[in-house]
Order: sequence, then C-alpha cells, then structure tokens
Amino acid sequence: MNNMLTELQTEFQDYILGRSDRALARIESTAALPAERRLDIYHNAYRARLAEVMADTYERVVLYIGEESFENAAWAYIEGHPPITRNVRDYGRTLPEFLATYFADDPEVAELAGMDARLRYTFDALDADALGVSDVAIIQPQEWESVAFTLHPAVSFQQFHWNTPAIWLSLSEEAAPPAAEQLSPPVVWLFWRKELQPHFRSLSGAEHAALQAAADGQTFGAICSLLAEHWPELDVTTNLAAWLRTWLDDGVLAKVL
Amino acid sequence: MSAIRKASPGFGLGLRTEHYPDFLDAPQPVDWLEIISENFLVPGGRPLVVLDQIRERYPLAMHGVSLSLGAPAEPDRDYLAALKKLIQRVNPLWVSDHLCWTGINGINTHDLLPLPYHEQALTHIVRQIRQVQDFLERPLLIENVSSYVSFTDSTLSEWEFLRAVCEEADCLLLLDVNNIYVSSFNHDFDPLTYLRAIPPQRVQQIHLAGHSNNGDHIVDTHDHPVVDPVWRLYRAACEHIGPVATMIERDDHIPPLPELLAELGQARRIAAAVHARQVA
Repeated sequence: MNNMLTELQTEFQDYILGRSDRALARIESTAALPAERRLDIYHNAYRARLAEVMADTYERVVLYIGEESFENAAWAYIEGHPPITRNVRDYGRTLPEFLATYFADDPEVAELAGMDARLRYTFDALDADALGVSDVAIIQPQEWESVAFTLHPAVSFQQFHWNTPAIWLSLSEEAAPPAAEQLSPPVVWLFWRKELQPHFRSLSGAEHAALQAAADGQTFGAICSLLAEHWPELDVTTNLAAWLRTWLDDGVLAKVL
Repeated sequence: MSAIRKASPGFGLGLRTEHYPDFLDAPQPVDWLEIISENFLVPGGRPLVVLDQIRERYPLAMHGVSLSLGAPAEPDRDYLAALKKLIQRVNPLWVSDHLCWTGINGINTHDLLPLPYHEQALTHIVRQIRQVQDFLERPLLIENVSSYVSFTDSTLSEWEFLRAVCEEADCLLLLDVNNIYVSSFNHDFDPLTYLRAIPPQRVQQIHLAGHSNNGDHIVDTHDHPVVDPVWRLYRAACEHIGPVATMIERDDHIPPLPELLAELGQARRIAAAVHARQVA
C-alpha cells in the first residue's frame, strides 16, 4: 500500500474523530468555504449519523430521557467508541453498559436500553425450525427422561432490578411511564420471536431455572430433579407439562440439528 | 472492454422498510427495486423473509456501502463471502458500491469519504475493484459520491479519475446525477463537463435524489424531492447515455409511496422525451 494515500487517510480520519487537525493542510480552501468548515462537515456528519443510528435502536430510551439528553449521552459515547463494526446497525451495542455509568443515579435507563437492544437483536436473530407439538408427540413415555431440548437462537433472558418492562410498555403506547421502582427480588424476563415478531414476558424463578437448564443441554429428567430439589412445594410434572406446552406454542424451543 | 452493461430494465426505487406493505400488498408501477445490501446481511428473521417475498415480485439491484474500496486494507473477506451468499439468494440485476473509503486502521466511520485523485490512488482502487470482481465473479458498478473537500494532493479531476477507474478496472458505473450536481456546487465546476467525460457505455444505472442547500455548500441528504437543476442534468445524462436504468433514492423524511412514484414519473417523462427526440 502506498504511504502517500495512507497518510492522508489517517490524518483525514483523525480530524473526523477529533484527534488532530493535521488534515487541514491537505484541503483546498475556497472563498466560499474554507478548509476547516469543509472538514467540519465530515466531523459533524460522523457524530450525527452514529447518534441517529443509536436513537433508532434505543427508541424508548429517547422517549424516556428526551431527545436532548439522549443526544448528549450518545455524543459522549461516540467520543470513546469509534465504530469498528462493518454494519452500521451494530453500532452502539455497548451503550447500555455506558449508560449504567453515565446515568448512575437512574439505573432503569440502562435497563431500558438493554431491553431496546435485546428486542432489536431478537427481531433478526438467526433462523431455526421451531420444535412443535407434533415433534414431541412421537416421543415415547420411556424416552422422556433422557430427552434434551435446544432453545431457539432468538430466545434470551434479561434480569430486571427495576420496573423497566412496565416503563417500556407505557412508552410504546405513548403513555406517561410509571415512576421507576426497584424490584426485590429482581425478575427475569424471557424474550423470543413468534411469527417474525419479538415477544417478552416475565418468568417465575422455577420456569427460568427450567429453561436455563434446557439451554445448558440438561435432559428432561435432570430438569425435573432440579425443580424438585429447589422448589419442593411445586407440582413439577404438572407445571413442566404446562410450560412445555407454552414453549412449543411460542416457538421457544428449536429442533435439534 | 469486457464488462458489458445490460439493457435498461427501466425505472425503479430504493426499497425502504416504510414501503414494504405497499410492495407486498399490491403490484406497484416500478420496473425494479434497489436494496441496500447491508440491510439484509443480518442473521435471520423478518428482513430476509420480506426480501424473498419482494424478490418474487420485482427484479432487484444490490447496492452496498461497506466495501471501502479506497481504504488501504484489502476488501474484507468475511464481508465479501456474506455478500456473495446474498447475491446467490437474490440473483440481482447487478451489484454496486462506492468510489470511496469508509475508514482506516480498523475503524469504520460509516461515511462515504472521498479519495484524492492521483495515480497512486488510481492504481490502488483499480486493484481493489479487480479483486472484488474476481471474487464475486461479476462486474461491479461503482458510484460517484458527493464530496465537500478537494485534496491538495489531487492531480486529476474527479471525472478524469472516475473514467480511468472504470476503464482500467473494467467495471461499470452507477452514476449519481445528484452527487455530480452537489459536488459541482461545492467545488465550483461545470457539472456538464463532468457528465460529458463519462463513457456512456459504462453507465448501467443512474441515481437521483434530493439534497440540502445550506447557501455556501450543499449536503447530500436524500431527504427532499429532486430539484430542478438536477432534473436538467438528468436530461443531459439521458442525451449522453441513452436509455438507462434510473431510480430515486430517499433515505430520510420518507414520503408515502405515491409521492415517490409521482417523482419517478417525472424521470420517465424526461427520459421518454429525450429518447423520442433522438429517434425522430
């Protein structure tokens, strides 16, 4: 690669990133528009574009904290996170972690961002054939003990310490969100995709443990034992049968390849 | 010349999510649609399902924004492999990307940044385009970008550079008439000089779009209707090139589909009038 071009591109990019103004000497000025203003068009467009991409991904965060506050947070994030992803849609994946520090006094903001991001990635997660009722109908009674399931690639969990899903839902309905309220204990929600649309609902501790065990490759028999051990008051067979029916209806499980 | 352009399929639009229902629910008066390749380089879900449904109804052209052909690094093999897979799924009319670079040293600014126009840059981008064409096993269409800077290093005009690129790389052109206009305003040159330097047989497709005029400079924003000076330049392009696939790009403030179809009607009328005069 020739150095003359690489040097120019390094300096040009450094100007865009706000790291140096050496590129100024390489730009023609005209009476109408001096070099600095010309370079600033790129400098500003870079930030505006990335902020816009994140405002689209984190739509409910924008509604919750307001456009100006979001833009300030986004620009602060952009300064420390030059994009390294090929596809612009992937930019800002770590914004939730950044917001946890940036809005340390309002932890529900970071949770809300996490939820927005999760729904976005649920939407276009990898495809897989969902396991249906007819697929499990052929399992013989003696086989159930050793059967293992796989979660659909679009399935994931998020733990909420705040009433973030209620805030998210209000914002989506253009209603005033409820006041942030800490949950004790925290609640895990399930995210999945059905008929190409993302869905989510809260999980009991036992159902989450069962799904997590399934995700970890444990057999149906092992999941029964796990539930019996930790939730002795639970009617394991009845509950697990009902959950399984819901998981199958919702496409939460995938056919094992 | 070995890269042979296809006969014009007519008049199209850039496919945007806002218009998915319009294109899926009823036939629309467009001859083809252009997709942004990156919008469908996703793991799965609805985007790819919709893509297959749209493809059943319309011929598609694929337009990319990530090749970064002018960057020092060779085109990313993973990206090229994903693009090739999408090409096999879509069987597009053609595949395009830009005469630009998007970042260096591992950073992708996600902007279409201009190159200096000199021999070194020319040699480099020609090599890059040839590599991509070899990998994809098809000619690439290269689009001219709008620019706001001219480099003191440049020894060629943009049109001399573009012409040399397509002749030496043996690629085709996606001529963005709005970008010629925007750059001519920002760099104070005659857009007709640019247009007339373009080898007509290389132009496979034309982009038309609106922009934002800030008084002392114009920014290529794709958020307004096409302006009259760009329509006049399009007329000149039709005279120079002959019948050529033409489409309107709108990326922001996206109006209801009928508004864009009406705008596309203006392109059809201009092209038809030029053609009628040429055959008379």
